Amino acid sequence: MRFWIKKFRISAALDQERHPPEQRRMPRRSSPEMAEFEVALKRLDRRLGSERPEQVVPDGLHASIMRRIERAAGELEEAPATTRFSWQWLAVPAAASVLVFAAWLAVRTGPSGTAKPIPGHNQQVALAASELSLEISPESLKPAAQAFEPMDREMKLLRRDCERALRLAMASLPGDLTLLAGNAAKDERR
Amino acid sequence: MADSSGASDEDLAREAQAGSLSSFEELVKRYEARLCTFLSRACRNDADGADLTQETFVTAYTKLNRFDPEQSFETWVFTIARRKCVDHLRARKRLSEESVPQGVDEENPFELAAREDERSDLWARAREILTEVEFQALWLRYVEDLSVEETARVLDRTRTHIKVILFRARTKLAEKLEGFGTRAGVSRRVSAFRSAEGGINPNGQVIL
Repeated sequence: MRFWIKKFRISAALDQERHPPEQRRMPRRSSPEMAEFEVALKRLDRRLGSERPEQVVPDGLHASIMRRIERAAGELEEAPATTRFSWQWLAVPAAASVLVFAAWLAVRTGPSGTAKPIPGHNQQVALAASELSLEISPESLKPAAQAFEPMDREMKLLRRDCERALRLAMASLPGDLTLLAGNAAKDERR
Repeated sequence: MADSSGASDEDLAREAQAGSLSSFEELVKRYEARLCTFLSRACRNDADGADLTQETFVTAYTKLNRFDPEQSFETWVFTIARRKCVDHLRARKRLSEESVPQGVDEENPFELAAREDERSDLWARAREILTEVEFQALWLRYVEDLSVEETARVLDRTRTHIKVILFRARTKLAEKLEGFGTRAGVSRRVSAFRSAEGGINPNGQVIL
């Protein structure tokens, strides 16, 4: 270990950038082996510094590099526009999905955050089930009632729209036909 | 076009960031030979070296906006080159593990001559003896004249780690090329050391 550290210090001394090679402070040698190591390392240091490999550049390398760079430059000019476009249009569906989710959550839950119960709905379902000979208690139908709640609201709105449409149609009829149509509508509602 | 031959690398990089392709071309001219030689030697293949040089410059150009002109362009571009080399060697290693290894044709005079040339070339021998990172550290230190700190930045290691890598590389090369550590080498060196005139200065340091 001691030798390793000494050898390491000899090697590290070669990397002292601030001093020229002849002024670099080498650690004091303590054995012939260390001296030999120092000699070998200094000789190697000089060889590595002086025997520089020949630079070999293939013909046409510069031209092919510049061709590829020009192609990359062209691609880069097109790329920012595409990126802006995608980001813009990514924001729209994201905002729309958030709005849809918020609306669904608002419909799904009441003002207090719980599902709104529909008065008498469970009893109606239980009655209908008893007619079909199914044994369903109103309590066990709670989740089902919650699930059908939006559909129920839609049904009510649909009925209201139908009635309005019917009234409008009746109002647009000539006088004698109105009475006739009114009676027919009453019959239908009954 | 302004004469950019006297401008620093960082100034040219700044101009290239602003959109000047001619400034980047000047940087290519300055570094293509150095990078190609480094990559060819590190990959031990000239064709791969040329391909990786092209890839290095394309990556440098496309990521130019990430370069900080306050830092050294040389360190930055060598870092990219070194990463390309590492990726390439990894891919090649995977391929060679999958394929049947090719033997050297001892009868082919061209191949034998090429091997002889390699043996006489110090850096080719170094590439044979050293590991990938040891060779790269030694190359950057001696051929590219980078400081230990710059070498550490290129190789993404600490300064102390680079010193250890350089120490290992030098020790290996000293053993193989200078005969240090071998019995014949020891006796030869010790006798040469003892007989050398003025071998030790008053501080106990070796003078060559």
